Amino acid sequence: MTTMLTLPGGRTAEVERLGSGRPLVWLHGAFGLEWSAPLVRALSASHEVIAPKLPGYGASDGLDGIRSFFDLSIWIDEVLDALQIERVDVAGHDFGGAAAAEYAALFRRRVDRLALLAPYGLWRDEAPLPDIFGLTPGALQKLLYADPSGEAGTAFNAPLPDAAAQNEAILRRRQALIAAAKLMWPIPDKGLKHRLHRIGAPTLLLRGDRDALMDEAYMAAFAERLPGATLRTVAGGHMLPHESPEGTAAAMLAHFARAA
Amino acid sequence: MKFMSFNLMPYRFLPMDFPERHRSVWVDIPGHLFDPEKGHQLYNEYMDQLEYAAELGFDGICVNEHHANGYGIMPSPNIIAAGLARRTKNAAIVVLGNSVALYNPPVRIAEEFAMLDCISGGRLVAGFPVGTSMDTNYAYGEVPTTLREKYYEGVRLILEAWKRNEVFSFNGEFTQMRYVNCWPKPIQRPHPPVWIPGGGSVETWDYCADNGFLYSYLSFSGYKRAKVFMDGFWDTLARKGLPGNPYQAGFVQFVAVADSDQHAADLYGAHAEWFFNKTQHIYGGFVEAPGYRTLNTIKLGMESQQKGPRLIDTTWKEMIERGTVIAGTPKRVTEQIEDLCRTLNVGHLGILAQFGDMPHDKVLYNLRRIATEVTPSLKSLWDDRWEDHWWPRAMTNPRAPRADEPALAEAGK
Repeated sequence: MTTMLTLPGGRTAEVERLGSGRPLVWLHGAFGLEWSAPLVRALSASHEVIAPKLPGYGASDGLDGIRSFFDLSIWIDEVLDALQIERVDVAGHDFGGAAAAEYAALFRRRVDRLALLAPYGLWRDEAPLPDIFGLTPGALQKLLYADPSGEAGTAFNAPLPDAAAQNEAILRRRQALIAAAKLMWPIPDKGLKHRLHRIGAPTLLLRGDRDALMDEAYMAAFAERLPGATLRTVAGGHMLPHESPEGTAAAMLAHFARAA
Repeated sequence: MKFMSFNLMPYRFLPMDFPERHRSVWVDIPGHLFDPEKGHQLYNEYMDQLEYAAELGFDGICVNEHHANGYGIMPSPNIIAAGLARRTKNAAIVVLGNSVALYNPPVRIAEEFAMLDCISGGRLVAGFPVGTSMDTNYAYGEVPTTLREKYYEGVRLILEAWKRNEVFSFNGEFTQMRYVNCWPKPIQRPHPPVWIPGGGSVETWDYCADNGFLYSYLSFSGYKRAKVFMDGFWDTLARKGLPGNPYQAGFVQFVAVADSDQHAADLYGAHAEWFFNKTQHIYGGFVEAPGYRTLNTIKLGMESQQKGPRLIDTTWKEMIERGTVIAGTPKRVTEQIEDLCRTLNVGHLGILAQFGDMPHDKVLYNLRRIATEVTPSLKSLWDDRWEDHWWPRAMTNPRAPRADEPALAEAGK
């Protein structure tokens, strides 16, 4: 179900709500919510998944006022206020993983449990991240998927039959990257390392075993600053929510059950 | 009609197999391909060429800014312009320009341009490009989504810094300064003419029209393909009830003069092909960062099926047919340049007489033939109807660089 929320100042937030159970906020990756639809469905079997489209994505506006992860955290908090949900579990992938970590560090008292899937937010000189904003679509497909020629991998750049739909898909991809690039350009380290220690929620750090984008070094770097975190891998590449939804959901649900 | 000699300053010693061995001439071009002693040769040759163009009677000489770029080794056009200002007398020094969002704070541009205007005796044209995505976002790390906002804010700060004599505070989104105080001030008051080089953004047409700036469409693909972009500017002015003065526009064009079409092909063909087939080899991932153009501009481009400004893999024959290069006898070249100026309605033309790996002597030959056999008969093209409000107003009696220091030193005792 799609809900259009009105936030202070008249801004619109587009939120997908699916399933019932404990509320779980899902924060999508740089390419947009459409690329985590399979995971959202899997999670909705046991949770009420609340998946906002981040500012600049879909009908969620107000990107002009979002200049940092600090602004984004406040935006997420205002979405929860508008939904009148007090305490939540939060999970996020990639760009949304950085957003989830930032939110859980800043609004620590509102977050019960946290899951970070191949999250952005840190930088290691010895393992520089590939630049997703400086790659051709074909190169991205190879980087992001464990099996670039599989069903999920080919869907990422699948040509559409009519020109109008194709143009719309190109514009949607552009719109997504415009929003993500605004906060992560040119290097996605925006000081999260100074705030991670504030996270109090039991945290799962999850990575695909064939993730060519997010090197293991990054999970280690997160784990180093989150001593209580659980480090897990599942079979898959970087686009876990799209390419490996079942394994990913199972790992997340196990964490949420364990930490309950 | 004003003619400028424009030099991109290509690194003309790139290996012939560059496109096969390397993915991009821009952003991640390998450092070992730059030989600093060749750099010494090239900077000095290119400055000689610009100075010779001024001597030959070109109205202006033109430099621009690129970063990590194999076909433009001029990250700092102001350094080149300072050298040119000392060695030329009458030519306008057209810096086209400084990519405003890359200077921190942008007052640095106000200061350096004021210095150039003072050194040259008021001959400066102040160009403010946004800069390409390769230069600004990839090579210099600027956030694409806010690049234009930062650029507009920077231009506003520079103009204020030139106009105001009192110290003031500037509370911008991207620059905060408690004490703005541009010292020196430019000779041209309130400020040198402002030119905006653009690639074809809808926003730029409005910006130039609303502020009275000159719009210069920078493209290497020639005037036939440029018409849709220039018409966009003229339509914008007309819609706002403003006159379509050709002097409010500029354009650049490759020009090559010889004794016959065949002679031109023999002399220049390989160099033009080198330019397009070697130096326009840019990795697809670097062409446009997300947010560099607004969604609005991208949509318009899709609807009108606009072609981008870049051409690659082309032959001399195709370049001649498409007007990418205007070449041939002086008579043919003159006719085509007149056609270009009338078609696009432009009063300033930057002529690229050096292109690709063209060697020094050939450039000088081309420049001389253009300046003596082509441009003189076209200079009065617009004089009957239009006045150029976008040209520098130099001071009278500027001090010439002198060579009598020993005598003066003696007299000073």
